[in-house]
Amino acid sequence: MEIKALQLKKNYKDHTVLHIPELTIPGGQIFGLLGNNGAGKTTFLRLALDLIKADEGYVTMGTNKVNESEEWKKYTGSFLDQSFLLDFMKPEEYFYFLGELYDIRKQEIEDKIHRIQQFFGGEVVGLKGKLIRSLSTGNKQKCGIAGALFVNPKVVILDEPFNSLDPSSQILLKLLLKDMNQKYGTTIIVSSHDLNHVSELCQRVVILEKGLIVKDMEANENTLEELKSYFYQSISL
Amino acid sequence: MKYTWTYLRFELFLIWNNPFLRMQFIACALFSPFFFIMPDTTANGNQFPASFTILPIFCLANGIYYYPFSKLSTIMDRLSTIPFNFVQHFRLNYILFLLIIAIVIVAVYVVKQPNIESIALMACMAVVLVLINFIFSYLGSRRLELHSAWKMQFNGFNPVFLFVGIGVVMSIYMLSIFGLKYVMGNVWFTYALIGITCIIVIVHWFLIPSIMEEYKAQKHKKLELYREQ
Repeated sequence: MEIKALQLKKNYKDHTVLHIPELTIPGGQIFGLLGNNGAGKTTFLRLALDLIKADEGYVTMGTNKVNESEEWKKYTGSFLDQSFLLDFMKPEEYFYFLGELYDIRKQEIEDKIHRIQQFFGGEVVGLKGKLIRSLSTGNKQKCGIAGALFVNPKVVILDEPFNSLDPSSQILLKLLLKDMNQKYGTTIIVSSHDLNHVSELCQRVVILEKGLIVKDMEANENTLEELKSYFYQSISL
Repeated sequence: MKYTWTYLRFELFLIWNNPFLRMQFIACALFSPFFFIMPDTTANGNQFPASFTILPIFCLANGIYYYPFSKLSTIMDRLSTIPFNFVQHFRLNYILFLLIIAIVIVAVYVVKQPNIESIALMACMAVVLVLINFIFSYLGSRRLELHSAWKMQFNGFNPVFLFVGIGVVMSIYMLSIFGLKYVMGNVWFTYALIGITCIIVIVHWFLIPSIMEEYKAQKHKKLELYREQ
């Protein structure tokens, strides 16, 4: 599923926080967004999910403009932050709720919950009476990510998914995302501050700075070094 | 309606975890005996006293209907990115609200067998509460445009604000009811109450989509204000 941003602009008062004249993310790509705080990464993701309104331009998923259609919600899984969790539910209830919304059969929901148990390291699911709100930060993060991947999405949008995850879960998440991408051609957008994760996971990396795309590169074995060198330079500037 | 039961179940959970609504549950339990104790008729023969004792139950039903709206602002992001139909959901909530009211009125009828005028008054009181709460919620969602001294009070579900607000509006409402009764006489007054009830029920049903739009717009606005700060 191709994602496209055209003449996309977001201002807060007179300050432009994001300006992307054109950006195309082809279907089946793992796309990484990098940038320092305030670079516009989350703003871009929020615009892509129609959570805020663009001052100019638009984002499309496939043929649908996200701000004009609800169609994209059926094939998009997303997790931006913990406000995305319906934290008054138990994890299983949350997954069943999502499963029902996305027309996933009960048996399949159960299979999926069983499969994501490894991601949870045997915790989270099956803890009787424990609500999402009472889980640790890391486990909440896992719940949110699992919720995004749970719904057989064609597009996955994750904002800093590796934050708060333990090392094993970080590795597992990368494997999960790569597996989804290879098996089902899922388009994946991930923002992160971690150069290692992005260079290891993504096929393409874009660096945002003060709302502008300053670097757009296909990932290869030298990507990590290039990224490090870019951010070293930005410090010396 | 596929997800409705799951979501409603958690709304009940939310409601029970809200101290104000829990307090209302307790208040209802305490007030209910008065319904049986109070005389059915006053000296001049009308049956208002019995109807008034039902008011706390109506307040509770109304709180149950509206509380999830207040919670929405914190879960709006999530529900906005999944195929969750807000309008369908809140229309269903509204039907449930009307159902609770209908059950209460039938129960009153069975126990007290009041006249048609009292029944009409009770139904009208219940749906007027919905409108009052809608107005408060609307003001609450617009609070940032109000004077800063009032800002904190206008959060739509502040208990003090609700008590005082509902008290004032209900007083105006009751005065106009008595005024209407005096001017119109019993028969036309009853017709008027039934008419008003039907109009409010229907108008509210069609208001729900715009309420949702307002909440979504307000969510965007809050986020942008937060960003600007």
